[in-house]
Amino acid sequence: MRSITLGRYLPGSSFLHRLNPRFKLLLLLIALAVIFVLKTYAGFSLLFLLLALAAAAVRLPLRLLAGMLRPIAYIVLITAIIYFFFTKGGVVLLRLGPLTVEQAGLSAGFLVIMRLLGLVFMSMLLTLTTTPLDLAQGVAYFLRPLGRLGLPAAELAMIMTIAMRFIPVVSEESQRLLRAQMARGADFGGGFFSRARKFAPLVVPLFIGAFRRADELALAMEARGYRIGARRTRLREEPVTAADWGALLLALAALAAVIYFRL
Amino acid sequence: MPEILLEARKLSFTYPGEDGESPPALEGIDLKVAAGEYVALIGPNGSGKSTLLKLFNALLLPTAGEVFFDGRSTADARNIPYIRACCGMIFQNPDNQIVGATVEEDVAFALENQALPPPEIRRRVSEALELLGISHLAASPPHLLSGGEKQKVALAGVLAAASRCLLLDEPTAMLDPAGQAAVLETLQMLNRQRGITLVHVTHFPEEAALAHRVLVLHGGRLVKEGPPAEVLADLPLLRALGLKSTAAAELAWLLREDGFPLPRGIVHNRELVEQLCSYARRI
Ligand SMILES: Nc1ncnc2c1ncn2[C@@H]1O[C@H](COP(=O)(O)OP(=O)(O)OP(=O)(O)O)[C@@H](O)[C@H]1O
Ligand SMILES: [Mg+2]
Repeated sequence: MRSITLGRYLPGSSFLHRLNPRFKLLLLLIALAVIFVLKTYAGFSLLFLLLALAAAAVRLPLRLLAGMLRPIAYIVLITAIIYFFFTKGGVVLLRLGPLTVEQAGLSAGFLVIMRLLGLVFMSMLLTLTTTPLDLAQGVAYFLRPLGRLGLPAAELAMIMTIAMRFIPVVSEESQRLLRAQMARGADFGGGFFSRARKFAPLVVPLFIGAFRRADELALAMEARGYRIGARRTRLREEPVTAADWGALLLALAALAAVIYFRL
Repeated sequence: MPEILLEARKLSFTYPGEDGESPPALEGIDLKVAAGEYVALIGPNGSGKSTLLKLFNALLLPTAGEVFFDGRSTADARNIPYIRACCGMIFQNPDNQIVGATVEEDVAFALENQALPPPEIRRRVSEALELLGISHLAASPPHLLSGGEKQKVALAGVLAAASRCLLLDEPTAMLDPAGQAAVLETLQMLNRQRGITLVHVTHFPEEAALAHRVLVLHGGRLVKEGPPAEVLADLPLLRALGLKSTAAAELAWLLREDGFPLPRGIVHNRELVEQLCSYARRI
């Protein structure tokens, strides 16, 4: 809970930063397909090697990486344990009373861990190298065809943008409330459930703060000439370059290779 | 007769109260602001200053009376895009007026809403950032900035929009002395060189003294208006409202009470010093 990094942008000018956000979204889709097709140790080693190179190119600080992986570590662990114990087949590797870990369970659990980590890592790379506004704009681009069905794509993009912009603000506010309570002698220690119960009183002020903020923000947006449904331009109309097409083709080739060589 | 840019006629405004009748936030305001004029708005907390600003750019609509911008009523929804494009506004709280995910994107927001071509937007954004000395923050996320830096970002946003009129709600309240001086200088430059009309809400008498005209609000009513030398020299009125005048005016008042033959209407330090020097030379 210390730092919610979802949607936090890491300023920079790496190869990934400079790709067109629309293409980056496509790349993410292809990469997801790759992850779900991959099933060998060699394939995953190759994938993580590539991801590590990308992280180095982006100059991703290790501290940030660790901070972002910590919240999902539990999910990964629990999922993996479920797979370890409940997928049956092959040689019995470990026997704990009535429970057994078998060959199939081990490899299924391993696959799940790799897939989850790959997924998180890649979405992280995307959000770290793309400003929320660009990201929202990219999503809105793909939603545009739905505009004919009455879906307000531009407004949705604005909503996403603002939600992302305010995640760090609200998380900072929760920290502030927490500190204010602690300064008055509140104790937020204890086990998971007792902590959850102690956090409950913070939720109400947090929500009230968020609503007040939303009110003021709406006013500020209006004052600056924002109107729903009006045509807008963008500070940066992202150009599509040869690098974008190159990256897309490479990704498609990688997907084809993974399928063809059964990696 | 100069062109009138902002006008309020018999303006009253009451916030929709939770339990029916709350007292009006503004009552019976008649006011004209000429194009190119610099007006300061002072008054105690809760006197309705922020409310009046929001009525000027149609964020609030009058409960009674009318508000005109450039001859167009704010009550007519068709005028609102024009009014918003011409009127830049700085809110009292810089935290919740920043929309963009980076400083640059935020400064561009109003321009994007006017659907200007991207190269033009980029040019104006970097110009505004330069003017306020925050070019180095262009790519920073706003929530990591200090209060004063946020205030400058907000200011850059309205400068970039090249508004004809700026509505400023305590724009220097969070700035350090250097930042405050820079912002005031920028405002005066905009007013003098580009003829931009300023309505400046402030609790600092020194800032009010820079304006062409000072308006005093109290309990939602306009209780006094006039040039700074007249309004800020009216210490009995200001004191009755719990306000203060500039240090020079306060000092001149005390000196006059002690029998110094100082003229009325001293508000700037420089004026006081000159008067005292010429007095010293005479004796
Ligand atoms: N959103 C609101 N809803 C209801 N009443 C409000 C609202 N905003 C302000 N008021 C009331 O309207 C009156 C005028 O408020 P306003 O914010 O205009 O004062 P102000 O002169 O700007 O004060 P300050 O110097 O503290 O900024 C106050 O009595 C206040 O309680
Ligand atoms: Mg106010």
